[in-house]
Amino acid sequence: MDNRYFDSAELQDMKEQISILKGKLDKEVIVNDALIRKVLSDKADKLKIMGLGKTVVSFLSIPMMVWCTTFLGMSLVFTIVSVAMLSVAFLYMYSSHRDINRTNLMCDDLLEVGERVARLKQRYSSWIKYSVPVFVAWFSWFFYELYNAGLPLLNLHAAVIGLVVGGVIGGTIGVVRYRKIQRISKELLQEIEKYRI
Amino acid sequence: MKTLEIEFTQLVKEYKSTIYTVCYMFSEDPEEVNDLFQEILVNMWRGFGSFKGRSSVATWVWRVSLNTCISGERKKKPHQSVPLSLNFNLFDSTGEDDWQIQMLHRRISRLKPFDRAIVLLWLENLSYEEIAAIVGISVKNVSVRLFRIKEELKNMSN
Repeated sequence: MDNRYFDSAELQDMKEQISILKGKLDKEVIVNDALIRKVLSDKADKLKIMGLGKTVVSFLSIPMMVWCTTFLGMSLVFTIVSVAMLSVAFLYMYSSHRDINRTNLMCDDLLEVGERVARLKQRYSSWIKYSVPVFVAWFSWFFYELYNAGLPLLNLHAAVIGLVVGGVIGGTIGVVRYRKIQRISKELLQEIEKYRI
Repeated sequence: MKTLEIEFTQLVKEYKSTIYTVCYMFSEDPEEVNDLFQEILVNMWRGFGSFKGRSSVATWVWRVSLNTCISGERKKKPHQSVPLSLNFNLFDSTGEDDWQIQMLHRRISRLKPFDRAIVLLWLENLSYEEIAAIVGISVKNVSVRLFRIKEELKNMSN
């Protein structure tokens, strides 16, 4: 179909306006070699380092957990359950991101990328829904184990109060964020559906 | 600089106006334009090595730019980007040309993100086939969408 079917006054105006914009931008430098180099070295390298950092922390946290529970004299069952929980969390995060990292996502078409990113966000935020109750149960068990390990009661009470207050604040922020991400992702997916009809 | 970096720098300079136009149409202020521009450069650089001409360079630049603006994960954070080398601010300049550009921004920014992308591609004189390939819809759907966008723009004017 030819573009002439859409030559309404508004679109013709817009064609002239975009020519003005392009003409103006073409005369500008906008980016120079130094800026491009800086963006690549600062941001792209930072992303690589952050990715590596996350992987290293993920792998180190399991032996750390084992060392911590052994040092504090906690039960073997608690250690096994804690390590299993960490492993599930890592596998979930890894599988969520595998699809995104495997291909160069940004090169695919707009609806495909929009859908995959929205689904990833939904999956991420769903994690909060399941992980919060599990972590509440884990923390309760953690304190039970600490109590049985014979730590001074005053230290134990201070730790419990700190963690409960932190947990309530963190949990509230998590729920608000979860609802917001779910709403935005749902709207985006609904819009994508309309385009695919 | 390595060969790949030299090629990339050339490409960015060649398509700087396209990238900037997309950022401007998806932003509310100059700082956001700055951040988006640099995020697009990072995304382009990450895919540049594996791009290998699967589509035309222009199509690839449009895809990465629009995808970054529509679907990219962005968090509002204290300003960290390096400023772009621009001698004007399109958001609050007062000349006749600037007024026209701001008018364009007002019209386009009132459309939904995917409609914004379609109209931008159409304004760039891309064919319906090219628009369909970039957005991921059928050619017929492009014409239907453009018809609806035209109606929406007319309603805005009224």
